[in-house]
Formats: sequence, structure tokens, C-alpha cells
Amino acid sequence: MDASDAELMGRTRSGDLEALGTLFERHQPAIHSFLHRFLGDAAAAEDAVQEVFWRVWQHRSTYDGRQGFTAWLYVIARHAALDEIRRRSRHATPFSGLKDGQEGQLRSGELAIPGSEMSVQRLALRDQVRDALLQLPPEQRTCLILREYESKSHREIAEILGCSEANARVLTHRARQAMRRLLQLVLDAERRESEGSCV
Amino acid sequence: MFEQGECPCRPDLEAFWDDELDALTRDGVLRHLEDCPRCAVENWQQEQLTLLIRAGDPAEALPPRTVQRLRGDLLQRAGASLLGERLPTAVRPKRLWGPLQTFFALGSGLAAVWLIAQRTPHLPPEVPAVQVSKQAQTDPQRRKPREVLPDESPAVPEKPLPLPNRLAQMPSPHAPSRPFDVAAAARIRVTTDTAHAAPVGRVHPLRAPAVERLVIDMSRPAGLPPPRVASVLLIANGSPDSADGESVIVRSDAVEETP
Repeated sequence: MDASDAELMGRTRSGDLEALGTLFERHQPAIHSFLHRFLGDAAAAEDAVQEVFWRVWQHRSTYDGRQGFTAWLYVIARHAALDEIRRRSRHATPFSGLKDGQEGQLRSGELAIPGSEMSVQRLALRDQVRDALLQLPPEQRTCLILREYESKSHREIAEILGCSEANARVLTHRARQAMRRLLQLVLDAERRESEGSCV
Repeated sequence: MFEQGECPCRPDLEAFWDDELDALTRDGVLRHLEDCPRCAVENWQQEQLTLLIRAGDPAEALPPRTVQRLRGDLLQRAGASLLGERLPTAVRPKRLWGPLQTFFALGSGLAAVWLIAQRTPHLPPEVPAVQVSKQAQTDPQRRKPREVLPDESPAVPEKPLPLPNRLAQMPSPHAPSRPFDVAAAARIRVTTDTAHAAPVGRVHPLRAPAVERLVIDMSRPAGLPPPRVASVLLIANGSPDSADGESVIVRSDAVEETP
């Protein structure tokens, strides 16, 4: 039977590296996805995911078990992501490796992605969603990602954000409203397409 | 929280989207959606938005090899911190720098060995040439090299040949093609068997052509044993390095130390 997070964290606190490795393997996919969605950049997410678990190791003695390990991990991930954004704003690292004009070509479907299994439309949609997410304030972005992609409850989101459950609900509501505005063109196109297919 | 004029059912609608309603309330919302076109449109738009957000999920899973590398780096770093080792703060590993460092270190070492081998030719053992004065090591007042004249030293050979002539006969790859004029020597390079010792001073023009000995000051930190001279190289004026024909190498066992 697999050890629980609390047991593994207890062993990590006493310096067990294998326990840390098991925690990394267990939680890395979710934390990486959260960071990738939050930062909108694969390389930055890769760096940040290692930074998160390094902070887990560094601050292992401060974990007292009162907070769930997953929530504690997401708090660390959120802070690591915010640090990464601050660092990037100082160094002005571009989000995308695309050259000027290629973003537009990608959206219009003119730019081929060699070796990519995704359709150009799917890539374009992904970029639109990513760009919309990046325009949300960090707290709203956290709420939306945790709610829509990771199906966290508002109680869990409140625990991660360190706010009340009601506040988390308000933030999620505002994030949805903002996303609806930001993706309005795509939503309208989807609606026209569905109406056309019904006729 | 909600805009004015919205349907009063809206709070439940939010909870409905978040799947946080009990079964009874959920059924009530479903019935309301059948009767309220405004809420029905709102619900449809939210469903579309959710589908769109999930379809355009920017996240991609890391490749298994990357996961293994990140895990290995993390555990290595954590293990090092357990041992109290100091590591750089950057999280991202230098993937190429480590092997390159090893490569350059090995290359530099091999190049240094080759250079030393090139500059230390095998010479016949019977060539006397240079004395190294140990007085400089023990006399702190002495800062400049002191010339040891033939009549001052008990270690002088009976009939010493002029140094340039003897050196010119050495089977050395660095031996000059013509007799070397020590008086013209401007620099001296001494290698020792210890890294902490370093020669100071320079060659003195020793009454050419009847040169018998050279005096070299050797510096060394206090408390350490005196260094042993491995080789002495005389470099003529205008010679940039020992590789040209104006340089002379004195074999190590020809070096004598004076007390």
C-alpha cells in the first residue's frame, strides 16, 4: 500500500530523500500543469516545478500537518509562480519563441508547426486561452485554473489563497466574467457555427 | 457580487456550475432552466466557456525523461544540502557545463604535462652549471640576488669551463646554434618541485665569457622545507619564450645549492 502524503512528508522532514522523490513523482504532474497554465510558458513551468519541490525540501521543517499537504504544495507553487512572474518582468523574457508576425499567422492557420500532432486550430485556440488566462489578475487566474482545470472546491481554493470561501467564490465569478469577455470572439464564432450546423 | 437585474436564481446557478449543490437544489435549478430563457442562455454560455477553456488547456505533460532528470537533480541537490555542501542557487541545472568543465580540465592537464615534457630535455649528468644560493632563503635582509664569485665558493670545479661554451655542447632541443652569451641573458625561469616556491630576481651578468655560476634567489613561505630546483632556463634578451634558439636549459641535477 502506498504511503500517504503525510507519512512521506514526515519521512522527508527527517531527511529521507526517497520520500521526497515519491512526493515529487506523485504531485509533479498536477503542479506542473498548474504552473504551465499560470505562467503560460513551458520552460518557465519546468524551472518552477523544480523550484517548488526544492522549497518543499528547504521548508520541510515548517510543515506541521495541520494544513493538507496538497494545499500546502499549491501555496508554495503559487508563490513560486508569482516570483517567476516578478523575475520575468524584470528581465522581460518573451512568452513565446515565435517571431513577430508568426503569432498572427498561427492564429489564422497559415503557419505550419512541423512535427506537431495538434491541428493549427487547436494550437490557435490554446494560445487564445493562454493569452486570456495571462490577462487575469493572479488571484483570479489561480481561482479559475484550480476550479476549471483541477476541479478544486472553493474551500480548497480559499485554503490555497489564504482567503475566505466566499471571497474565493467572488474571485472565481469575476474570473469567469473576464474570460467570457476576453474570449467573446471565439465564443461568438462557436455559436454561429453551432447555429449554422442546426439549420 | 452579481450584476443588477440578473435573475435571482443566479447564485444557485454559480453553485450549479461548480457542482456544489445538493440533489434537491440541483433539481430545482434544472427545472428553472427549462422555464427561464435568460438563465438558460446564461447556462449555455457558461457551458461553452468551460468547454472552450478546457479544449484550449495550455498545459502539456512533461516527457518522462524530463521528469526523471528533474527528480534526479532535485534529489542530488537535496542530498548535497544534507551534507552541508554549498551549491549555486539557480535551480536550472547546467546540463552541458559539467561535462565541458571536466573536458577542459583534463585537456589543460594533458597540455601542461606535454609542455613540461617538451621543455625538460634529457641532458648528460656530468654538466655542472648553476648554483642556487640558499642564503637568500634564510637571510630576510637580503632582497637582491648576490653574485657568487669563483673564489668565494668552495664548490667551484677546479678548471671550470665558461658556462656558455658548456651549455652550447648540451644535446638539448633548446640548445643554441651558437655559443650562448650568458651576459646577454635577461630573464631566468626556474621550475621547482613545489608549488609554493618561486624564484625571485634575475640572472646577473657574470663576467662573460668566464661564467661559472649563477645565483638565484628562492623565496618560500616560512616553515616549509626548501624547494628543490628542477630546471633552470636562461632566456636571452629579446627572446619571447624558451622555444627559440637563444634559450638554454640547465639540467636539474647540475644545480647545486649553497648553504
